[in-house]
Amino acid sequence: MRRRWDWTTQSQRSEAVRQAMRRLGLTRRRARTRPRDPDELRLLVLRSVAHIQRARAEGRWQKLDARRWRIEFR
Amino acid sequence: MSFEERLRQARSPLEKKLLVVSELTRRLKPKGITPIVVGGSAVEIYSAGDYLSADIDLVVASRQQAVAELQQMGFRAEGRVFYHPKWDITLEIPDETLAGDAERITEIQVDNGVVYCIGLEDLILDRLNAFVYWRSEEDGRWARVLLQAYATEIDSDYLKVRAEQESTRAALETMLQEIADATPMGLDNSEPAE
Repeated sequence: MRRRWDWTTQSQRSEAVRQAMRRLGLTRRRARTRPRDPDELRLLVLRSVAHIQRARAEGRWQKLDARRWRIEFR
Repeated sequence: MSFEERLRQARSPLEKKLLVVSELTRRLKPKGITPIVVGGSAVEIYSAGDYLSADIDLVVASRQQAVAELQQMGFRAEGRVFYHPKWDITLEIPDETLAGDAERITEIQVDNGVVYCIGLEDLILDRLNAFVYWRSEEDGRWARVLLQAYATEIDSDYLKVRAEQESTRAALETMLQEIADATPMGLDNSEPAE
């Protein structure tokens, strides 16, 4: 059986990390230490582009005109 | 349905964030103040939620009035950031001035409200700056994603002129060339199976 993601626990963990980071003053952006492989980078870009195209094709992200969008979440 | 009830029904972090910004926008409208989503939250919007930002970054012309409204909504100031313990939302107002063209701000309709977001071209320039000057590979990746996903809709003349002014034109041209040369990898665009 597929295990369901526990968003509540995950959210609490994420918040604990965020609070610890704020306490430590770690508010600046961190660079990755290892550069991505160019093929990995290309694949990640294509995956994200496909995600955007899917949201638009399904009408969840609708462009009404040049500067107006409508987002449907359900 | 009350705002609290609607928020509880939100099924994704982006939905929750947009509902909160929409509520803040509604509350600030009578004061003539318009909060504008910038930074990672704007990438989250234009990437249809594929990018996940830890907090909401807003540019608001009158920080003082926005802070007062945030506190009315239940946000607590923690240093530079505001946190809502009940909604588990973190928000930051990094600036009072938009680093971009006000004419290019995008209006996003969500439910019966609206959220205003930095223009796509200005957001790409922002990521491009972080890529070039902070050597942030991740920002470079998201600049590429947005350039590729919206290739036919972007005002490339504006993008190139602004990139020239910010000395990021070479990086922009390299990215555009890479996108043009990219070999399709045959990604399946269907929904992943549950």
